[in-house]
Amino acid sequence: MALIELQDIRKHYKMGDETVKALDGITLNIEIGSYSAVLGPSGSGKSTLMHLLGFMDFPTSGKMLFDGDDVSRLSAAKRAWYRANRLGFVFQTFNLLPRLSILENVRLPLDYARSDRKKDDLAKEALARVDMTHRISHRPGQLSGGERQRVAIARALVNNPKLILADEPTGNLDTKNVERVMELFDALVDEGQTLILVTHDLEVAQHARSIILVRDGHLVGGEEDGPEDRFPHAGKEQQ
Amino acid sequence: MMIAGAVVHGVREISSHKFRSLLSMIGIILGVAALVAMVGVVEGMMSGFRKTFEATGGIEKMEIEHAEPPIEQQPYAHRSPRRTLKDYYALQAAVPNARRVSAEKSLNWTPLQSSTRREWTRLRGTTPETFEIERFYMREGGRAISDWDVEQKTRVMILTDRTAKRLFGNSSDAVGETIVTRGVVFTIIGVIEPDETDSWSRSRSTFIPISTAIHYFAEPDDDTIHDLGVQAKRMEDIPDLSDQIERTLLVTHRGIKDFNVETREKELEDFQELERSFVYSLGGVAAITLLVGGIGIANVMLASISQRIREIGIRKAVGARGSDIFIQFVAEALVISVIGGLIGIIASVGLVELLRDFIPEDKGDVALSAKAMGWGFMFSVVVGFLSGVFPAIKAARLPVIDALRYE
Repeated sequence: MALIELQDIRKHYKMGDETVKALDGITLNIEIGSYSAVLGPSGSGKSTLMHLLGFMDFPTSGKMLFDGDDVSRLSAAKRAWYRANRLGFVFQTFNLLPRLSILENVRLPLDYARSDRKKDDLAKEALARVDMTHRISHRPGQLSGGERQRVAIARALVNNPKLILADEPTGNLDTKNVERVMELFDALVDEGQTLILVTHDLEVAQHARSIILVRDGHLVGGEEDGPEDRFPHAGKEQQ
Repeated sequence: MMIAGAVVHGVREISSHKFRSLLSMIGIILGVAALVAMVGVVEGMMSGFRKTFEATGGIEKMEIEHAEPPIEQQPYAHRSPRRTLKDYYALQAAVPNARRVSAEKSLNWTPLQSSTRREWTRLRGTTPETFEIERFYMREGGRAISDWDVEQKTRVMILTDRTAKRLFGNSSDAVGETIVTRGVVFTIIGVIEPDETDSWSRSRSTFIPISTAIHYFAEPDDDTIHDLGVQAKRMEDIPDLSDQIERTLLVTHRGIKDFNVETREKELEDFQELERSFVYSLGGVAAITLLVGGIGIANVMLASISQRIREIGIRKAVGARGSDIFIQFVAEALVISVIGGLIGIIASVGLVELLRDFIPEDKGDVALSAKAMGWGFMFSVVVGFLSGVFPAIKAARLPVIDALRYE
């Protein structure tokens, strides 16, 4: 069953007199429990697609279904609700708030979800999942890059999201930490988590079970069988 | 995020920039302190005025003042005896609606000579009613001036507690002693009970019967008096009473209208006018200070927001709505202004103490008023809210994608 269905999605921007077609007729299904990697050169529309899937933006035309509900025309507040309750984000630059403690950072989506759940307990559970419980009262500045990214993953997990979006999650990490993060993602997917990964790194993309290739606002093709046979082609597109 | 959470966050945000926050608070601190102190001064002055106003007969008192007669009467103006003691008796007889009629002949500064000491005071020739109207109460063992004294021109004298002490050392010894003033011997029959609210001039007054004052100290052919007053029973009686007074006095003044009946409504109105202008001008100064304080906070908030665009983006990405961001920044501005307001109120306590030393006590007591503090605090909340709204709207409207990308 599809978690997200995109039907002929277009996103056009006006830049002066010119209309930029960032996305031009995307039709795509994200199945529940799938693990996809979005690949594409800069300016391909990859980021715009991420923003749409992450409820940070809305399409100019076309239809987007999330969990069976039409979400193509949502108010800003409603989109914020989806971000707080249904999605988890992992960013390249971690994006932790420097003045909050690790625990408070992880708890943040729950604060905005206005949940009555035991926020601190859930946040501690999420931190345990990424093996970071020993540093809950530290500040992000006191942590290494790999540790910060694990905290960010805990924050993405804390609201038990239907979908995790990871935007270049390994871009700022060394090889050892890349492995660790990717193992964590693999484990999450094995537990049934739906995950979308945006990356430039082909080795990282190898972990995904399908590839979404974006170019000039169009999908070039997605393969359910695994990314291997697409790699030469995808590799060229990275240049 | 809950509002309480936003406030806690605001406190943390402010405590992480203590110096910057203090600078942004200064306007509010000064504004609130100025407001509270100003209200203290004005209210003190007003209460001082009211005390004096009540002590001199209150709103029910009317004064009969000497006035130029109308132009057509001026050739005959000399036929009027002007205001004399006869007017006092005539009013007592003809105006039954009056609570009290009083008259006074002032003799200004006069030396009082006891057997050993000399003391200068204001000598006032008065009628018995003056003691009731101006609330002079006698010490035990003495009495005030009576009708009989006025009728018989007796040489009796009432001293204030202060004067009695200075002349005789002990004020209770004064009754029965004699005083010589301007060559006339007086017997002291009473000493006035001291009152801590006594003004400088109240405590330096000495009283003799008005008839005695005219008889011994006025020029031989001068029997005029300086003050003639009527106190009404009720304020509503004043218009009728003022007609009656005018008719009565026209008879004693042989038809010459060389007097005016003046009610104290005008005096009260003048003072209320003065109070209003004080409140407006001082309130204006305080309002401008608060406004400047508000602009200071808005400025700091705007600067802080452009520093924190990325934070706003992160918060929005994990689910903050525009309203959450709005509440967060308004709460921060409110926390700054409320802390500033509280510091301002504390500062106003010191300011009022300072002002107290500069303003003479009989001109009114400068007092801290809880009402003024409440107003000051409320104003600082309003200013904080208003100065937070614009930056907060700006923050709330930041598009999440742009904010997240901002470096």
